[in-house]
Amino acid sequence: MKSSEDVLNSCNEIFRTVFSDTTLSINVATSASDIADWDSLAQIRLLMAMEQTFEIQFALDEVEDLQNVGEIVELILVKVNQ
Amino acid sequence: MSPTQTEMIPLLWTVKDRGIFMASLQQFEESLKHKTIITGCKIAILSGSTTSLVSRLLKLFLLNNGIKAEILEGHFGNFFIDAMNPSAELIAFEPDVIYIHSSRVNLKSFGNLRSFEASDDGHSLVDNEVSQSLKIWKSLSDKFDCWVIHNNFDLSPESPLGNSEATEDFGHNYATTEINRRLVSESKNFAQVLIHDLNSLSASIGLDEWWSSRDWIQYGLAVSTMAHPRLGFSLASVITSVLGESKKCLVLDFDNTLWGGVIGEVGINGIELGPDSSRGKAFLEFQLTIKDLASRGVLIAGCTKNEMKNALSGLNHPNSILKPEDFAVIEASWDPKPIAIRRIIENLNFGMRAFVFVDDSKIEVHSVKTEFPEIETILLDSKFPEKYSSMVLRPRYFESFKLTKEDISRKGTQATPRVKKLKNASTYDHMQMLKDLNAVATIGRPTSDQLERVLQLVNKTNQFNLNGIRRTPLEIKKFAEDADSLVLVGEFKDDLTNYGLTTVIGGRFEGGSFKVEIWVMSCRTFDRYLEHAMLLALRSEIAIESANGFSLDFKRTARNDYFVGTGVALGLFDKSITDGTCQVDGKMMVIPSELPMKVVSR
Repeated sequence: MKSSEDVLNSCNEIFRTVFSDTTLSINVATSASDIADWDSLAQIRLLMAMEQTFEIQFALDEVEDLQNVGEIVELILVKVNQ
Repeated sequence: MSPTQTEMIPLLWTVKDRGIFMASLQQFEESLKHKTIITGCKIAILSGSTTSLVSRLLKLFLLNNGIKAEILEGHFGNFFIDAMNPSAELIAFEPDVIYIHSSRVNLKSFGNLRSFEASDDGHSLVDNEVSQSLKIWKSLSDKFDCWVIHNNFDLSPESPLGNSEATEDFGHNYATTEINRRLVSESKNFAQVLIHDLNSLSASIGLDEWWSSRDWIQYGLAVSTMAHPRLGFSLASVITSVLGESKKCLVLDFDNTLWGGVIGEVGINGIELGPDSSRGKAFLEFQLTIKDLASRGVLIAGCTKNEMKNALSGLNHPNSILKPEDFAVIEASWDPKPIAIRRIIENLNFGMRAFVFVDDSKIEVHSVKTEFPEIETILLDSKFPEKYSSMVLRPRYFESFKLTKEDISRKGTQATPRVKKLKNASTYDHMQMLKDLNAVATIGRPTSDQLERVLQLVNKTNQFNLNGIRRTPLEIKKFAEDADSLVLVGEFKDDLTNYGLTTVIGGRFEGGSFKVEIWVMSCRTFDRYLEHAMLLALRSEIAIESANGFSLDFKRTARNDYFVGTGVALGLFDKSITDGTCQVDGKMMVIPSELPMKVVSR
């Protein structure tokens, strides 16, 4: 079983890669408004990297209304622990 | 150092690597911030589907080629309207290139099961699709003085009626293939129009990876996110080509590049080239690829550390597809490759950016890359010669958008290999390059584990070999163990490669003197000053037991010209050396005050 902390840590690595910032530190409240480069393309790249890393697939409706990192982590957690 | 094309390109070929590439996109962009810009290019993208991703990738790959792109993207799905009635913004933009990002999602005629060949209005559906493209090309040609790059159409990964989709005249794949054929044919009437071959690109990736229903539904991407890097790369290659920045000359190493083995060591009959072995076949395949490039107007140059006679004998091997006359120039010498390449550049009179250098040696590639950052380099792995062709072709260095008769005949005008040596105008500092590699030579008496390697070196080495005498395991063991003999071995490594044990020097004490009877070195460590380090180590060892100089038991063989040249340069003897015992005055040895390596005694 992965914990939400595990998932958050892995997500943090993905964010660092995608935004090319080794000092970036995200938390559950982090949202697109906190990261300047987080546009729609970045969103595609983030989700793609998460799918590869966690070996999961997001459904169409699951990724439409994600508000912040916490919601992404929660979604991933459900999938990896299924 | 910014990533070179060859460092980004390996990430384009599998889904997993493309995932890494896409995630790291921003890092690649940042690494190219300080790339030298050769030229700028204004590109208008007319949209048949979402263009933001292809736009960004196109910018990245063009920048990697030294082209700074300014891009104007049209509104989603608006390509036909934008082409027929360009906005004031598009006209004011004055593009150098208009790229029409359309694909099969833009085929309007599909969806009805009826013949593509004859329809109710007398025009086939194929006609309708082609005529839309013709309208676009005419309008753009009338209004803009620029290149127009238009995708042909990718096939659908799904076939509702299976095989019939390709074989019956109502089939999607049948129609798409027909449209693509017609587009190429019609485009010949438009000097500015180039067809970008989306069809082959999608096939190369595989339609199941190329198309993602989710990416289409969710993001409006007609090409999957994962396939996008290949699309951006392909377009950048075409645009680089129309801007005249494709490469023109391929500079090839010979040993372990055009054939397996070192011809100076194994001889003409020992190289791997031909149908009798898998590796021999792989080198043949690579030669075919090179021949094909040459026939398409790419100039081929040879750059090999070899005696010229050996280099040419390899090309004259009965199985060799490449012959000396296929080369515009052949540089065969023992000079460092940056010096040889400078001669090739001067000889062919192209700018440095026109060259691509290919070698299986890390240090050769490193030295060329360091000395000429503008030259693209490809490092081959001689364990996998079957991969050579794709290593050379995948980067699309030699993209040619319209092949002229001159291209095809170019080879003929330069057919005679120019083998004469030009003056050396290089300021290349080979010693400094070597020093920067932090090499370490570990020299000492061989351990019992090393005797097998010593035996192998002594019995296989030809070019750097004192006398070519072959030894039995027992002889080697006695050399290593007897009280009146001495053997030293040298192991070598640097930041690029661990070469292992590559050199052996050994002999016997006779009276008050020492006679060297074995001295061999693998060609892997030629030109690294390792022979100097070995001599110093020997001198230091024998000084303990012998105050005088030493002698060499020399014999000229068919293949040890390199040894003779090195011995002369070392001040051990002169060119006229004859077979037999040659006395060396240790004081006459020419050894630099500082060697480009750290020497560790073991």
